[in-house]
Amino acid sequence: MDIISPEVLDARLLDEVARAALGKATCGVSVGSDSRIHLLAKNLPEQQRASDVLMRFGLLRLTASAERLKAGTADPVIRCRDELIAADERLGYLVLRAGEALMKGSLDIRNGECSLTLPQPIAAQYTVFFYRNRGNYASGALEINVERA
Amino acid sequence: MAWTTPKTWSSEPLTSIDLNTYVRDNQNHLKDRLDASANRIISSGAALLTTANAFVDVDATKLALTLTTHGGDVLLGFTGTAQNSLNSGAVYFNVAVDGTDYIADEGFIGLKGAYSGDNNRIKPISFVLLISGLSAGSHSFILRWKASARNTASMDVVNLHPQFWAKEV
Repeated sequence: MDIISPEVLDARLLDEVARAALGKATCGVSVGSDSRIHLLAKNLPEQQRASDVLMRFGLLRLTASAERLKAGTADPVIRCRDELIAADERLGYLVLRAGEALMKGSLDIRNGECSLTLPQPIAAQYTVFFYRNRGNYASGALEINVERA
Repeated sequence: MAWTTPKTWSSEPLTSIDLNTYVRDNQNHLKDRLDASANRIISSGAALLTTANAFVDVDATKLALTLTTHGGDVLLGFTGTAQNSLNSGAVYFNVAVDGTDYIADEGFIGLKGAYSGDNNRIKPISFVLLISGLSAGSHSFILRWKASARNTASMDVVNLHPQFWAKEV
């Protein structure tokens, strides 16, 4: 069965948080005129988690030391300080470069804040995506545009 | 209008009842079958994308057909495009007939990347598929797809406009 949001979301990012939240209960997501998380079976807790993923997509507030920079300058640092993660210990992340996965993993949260340094970025558009892998599965993204030096 | 096996006349009188049953009604049946078709062209909307690793609807509304048949087979056709986000990514296609995937395993047609730089290239997908063994009545046909692991498959419907059609034969 599908859990549906009328919003058109980023399929790659939605897939990341949906698989983190649902594991093998989902086979993936689809995006077209709406956004769907595909569940392999009807199960109320999983339906609720999928709904949380969709409803809280984009809610985490991210900031960056620079959102537009030239290659070779100081590496940008992306931070998340949001009351939604205040009680969490770790946050999942995914970085896309020109739409392709560059790095992923999880970050420690200290004093209600976590940060990620984008190491030596080259000229390209980067999408940095943070997501809770527990609780309400809130997530947020930010774009960094790196130009040639 | 059902098909009636034609009568073989010998020397009996030609009656209006027989003419209506074996000539008129059978001709109507054949014409109804020829006329039965359904067709969708996506002419607007956002690109379709999926990361699903099991078959899911490409678009449950825009690439779904309902056809009332008269007991004959159905030809399904599709002309469109697809692309993979990964160089070695694959996308496979299937059709759900009355809610059940018609072909097992990886479906009946697909695209698989083979070399570096093969990703994010628009490639043609076109097929004609014969669906047999259908009873007379209303039937649904939905185009389905799935992507290989970590791949995002997409279909352009913004600049290119796929067509999905069904016709009883």
